[in-house]
Amino acid sequence: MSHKPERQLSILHLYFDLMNLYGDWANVEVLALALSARGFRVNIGKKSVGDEIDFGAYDFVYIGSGTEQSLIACISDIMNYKDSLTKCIENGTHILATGNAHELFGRTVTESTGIKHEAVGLLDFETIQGRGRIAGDCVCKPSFMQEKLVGFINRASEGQVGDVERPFILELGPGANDKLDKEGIMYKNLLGTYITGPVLVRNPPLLRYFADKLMGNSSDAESHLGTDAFFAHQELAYKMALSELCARIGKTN
Amino acid sequence: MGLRGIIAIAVCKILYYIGKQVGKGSSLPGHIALKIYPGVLQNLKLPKNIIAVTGSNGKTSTAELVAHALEKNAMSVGWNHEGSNQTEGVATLLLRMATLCGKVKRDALVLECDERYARKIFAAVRPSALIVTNLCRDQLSRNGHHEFIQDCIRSAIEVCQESVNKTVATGVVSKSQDTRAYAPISATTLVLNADDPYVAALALIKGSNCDTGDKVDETSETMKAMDRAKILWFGVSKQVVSGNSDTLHPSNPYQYDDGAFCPICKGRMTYDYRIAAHYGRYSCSKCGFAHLTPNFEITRIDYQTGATAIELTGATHNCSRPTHGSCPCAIKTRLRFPSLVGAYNLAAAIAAVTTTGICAQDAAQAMDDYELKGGRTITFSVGGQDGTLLISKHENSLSYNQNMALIVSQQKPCTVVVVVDAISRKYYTSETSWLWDIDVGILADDNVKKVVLVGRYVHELLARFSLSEVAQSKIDHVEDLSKLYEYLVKNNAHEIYALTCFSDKAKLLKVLDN
Repeated sequence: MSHKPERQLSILHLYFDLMNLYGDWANVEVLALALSARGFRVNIGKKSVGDEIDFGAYDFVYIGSGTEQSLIACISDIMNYKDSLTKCIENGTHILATGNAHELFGRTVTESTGIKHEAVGLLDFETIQGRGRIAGDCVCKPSFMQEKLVGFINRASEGQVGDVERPFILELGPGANDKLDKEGIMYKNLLGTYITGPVLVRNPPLLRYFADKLMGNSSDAESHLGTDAFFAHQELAYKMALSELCARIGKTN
Repeated sequence: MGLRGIIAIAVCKILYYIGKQVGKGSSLPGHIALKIYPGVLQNLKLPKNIIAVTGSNGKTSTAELVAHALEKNAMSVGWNHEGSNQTEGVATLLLRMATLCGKVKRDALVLECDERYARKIFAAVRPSALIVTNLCRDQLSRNGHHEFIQDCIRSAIEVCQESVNKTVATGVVSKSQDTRAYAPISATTLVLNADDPYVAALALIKGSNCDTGDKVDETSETMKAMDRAKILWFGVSKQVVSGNSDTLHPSNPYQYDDGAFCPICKGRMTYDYRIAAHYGRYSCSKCGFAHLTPNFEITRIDYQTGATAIELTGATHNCSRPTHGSCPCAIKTRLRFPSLVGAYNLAAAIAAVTTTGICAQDAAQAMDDYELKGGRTITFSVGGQDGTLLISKHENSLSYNQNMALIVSQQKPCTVVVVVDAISRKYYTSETSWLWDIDVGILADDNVKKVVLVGRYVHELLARFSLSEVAQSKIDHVEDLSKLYEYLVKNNAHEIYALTCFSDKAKLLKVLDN
């Protein structure tokens, strides 16, 4: 990979210690690994509640899932950056928000006790946290790529309503509300999904998607991920999970 | 107890008897009995001493210690040791022991309760003491997360308080009913892990109607809310872990740290010291929520002598033995297999036993050198090499961290075998995020000569280990569990430690027995 021009990419793991409920940190590690494999020098910034954050300094921002109360704590913090964050998204910064983190970008989040919190409000949707859990394996077909994704959804939010592009069409697993077979949010380079945990570990196609996107104009490299042992294991684990979950719903992968 | 109750009890007894003959589970009889008469449990005449145990880890071990100590102190005990810890299992236990009139002729009951079902169980059977062992990431695919479980337990505690209020208000307890059942009307004593902030936060109950019990330190404004509650705190002191690399490594904080933020207000927490994971002496910089010094505190574990000495200090309680006067502030016992986990369970058990009037010293003596029947280690031998199976829990990263640290602390050249073959009994699941919560880097130790990853989820394991500090040259894998024996005979030259879950235990042992 040494023949490629070295370029630096900066990843921000936002609320790394508060929104990290289901092994979410691994997403940042494997994305950095994939980008390094393609010849990039990768900086990882870890920021949390109360830190000074310059969103403009990052090429990619990741936020993982947290408890319902952790999300509420994030809302009050992220509102300090409402304008700068919105500006970055409008300018095309790549953001991935997994689990309940993507709820931050809607208009409001309401706790199960009825207390309503104003969120970033970039997109026109609202979330209501429930008292129970909605959890299960999922298989979905993203609107923006060919391959299917596998994962697990684990959330309290009962129903998300609003006018927003929902990029993940579910073949197995719960939609954004009980009337929808779709979930997630997509706006410019902001992508959100209720799928929790190491989404980029379980789904090499999605990892390649982000690696490709981040390479931008310097994408003279092949789209494979590299020779690190991790990628081979990741691919085999993904194929197995996809075939097992598709078999459960009687579909071919 | 009306006719329906009598029928429900009789059916439960018969089904339990039949089930026992064919080796079937212990929840079906209770399930059927509750269908026949949903109110049957509320109408039982129960002993005064009912010790319930809930929490993420250590429920079964702690319940066993409590039951053993009570029995050693001449009490007849009923407990759900068959493992059914949901409502139906508890119903089976109570109804099979009850007379047809509904009288449970035991001096005490020990009820292991599933965290999510505790509320339902306590609505029917109010415990006199409730142990909450700890709250950590455990079976998140089913349990959501530890704060969700904390809410479940909080509502279970509220049910205990509600039933007291109701009993007082309506005068439900009449002379004609067994006075042992609900009299004297007193609140459930909470036996809480002081070192675990998520458990300690349970003491803050809105509108609680607890008896005034031992007054706890008023270290903060927030904690004042609970000084009316009757609470016994247990914990482990700093000197136990200083200079000792025990079974509880602090996990890599980038992976996760559930002690980073306050469970009450989500302010940032600081720790004077940590015992393990998020257990330690914490305080919140924002709301003042802080660790309290336990009444029952493990102050010393002597690992060197094999058998372990444990001291409990500050164990103040109402001792029924007049000769003891004010009960000892230091007592000793021995753990058969010394570990921090075992010490926490022991402290909790002794504290709970004292609520029955048994002296802490007598409780401790009963536990002396006691070997748990539901032990978590099994020895085996493969190809001339000795092996130890350390039972962990899938979907519980802390249990893996503990066992990995235990292996490293043995300081012996070894091969570590990690088996993940079935996570769910029902089907394949893609929920393997807990593997990323395990601090597998603990095994990056010179004495760990080889790590063999085994089972259906071998590629997930390989992916996880490939992003760890463990040298890749030490990692090998066997996808098909049935080939493990052959592999070890051919390739292994060291003592073996095998890590897996209950769900994969039987399969693994069968393979190792060849």
